[in-house]
Amino acid sequence: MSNHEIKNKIRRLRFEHGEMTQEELAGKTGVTRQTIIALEAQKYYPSLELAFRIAHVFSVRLEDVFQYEE
Amino acid sequence: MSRQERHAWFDLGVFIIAATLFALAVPRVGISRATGYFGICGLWGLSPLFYRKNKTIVALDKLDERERIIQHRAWIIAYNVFWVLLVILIMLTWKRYQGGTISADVLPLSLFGGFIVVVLVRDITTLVLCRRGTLHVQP
Repeated sequence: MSNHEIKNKIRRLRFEHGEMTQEELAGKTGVTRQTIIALEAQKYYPSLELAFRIAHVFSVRLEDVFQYEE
Repeated sequence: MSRQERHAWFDLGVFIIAATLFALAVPRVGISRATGYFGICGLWGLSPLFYRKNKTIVALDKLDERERIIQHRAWIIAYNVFWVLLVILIMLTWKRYQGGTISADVLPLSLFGGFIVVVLVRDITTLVLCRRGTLHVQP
């Protein structure tokens, strides 16, 4: 099993961008609210495309949203 | 609750109702006639309603990437469980009726029973994956 994990700052970025709701972020990225919930709870790792879409919504770099850590 | 979870709980609820009515009917009408209550499982055909996007149009909506992973994994596990049970059933039937005859009820009951097993295992797996997350099954 891998010793690495991918963490994210989606929740913080949502609040920093006009207190965006999970529903709004889900609508802008083309996924369900449950997927956003799973992402924030780190129960799901997004595909590369979804990761880029999320970063694009917040107008930040990919590395500012997702961190690959040991 | 996600639409996949609602769908799974609906399927499980329908099965529980059917199984309860079957169990209550067996003492009165016998097993063979009581199995008719499993016809209630035909309500599973309403599952596309859980994936509506527009209230005026009943159609399967596109699943997002996480839902596709869950659905894919649930079907694989359901198929594997069905296959194992099918082999066990065939071996038991062969051992029990070797050289003899099998009732004509066995084939349709086996097929329908297999279908129920697939749907139940799929739904339970869906619920587990929705709650636990999919990190351990993602590529």
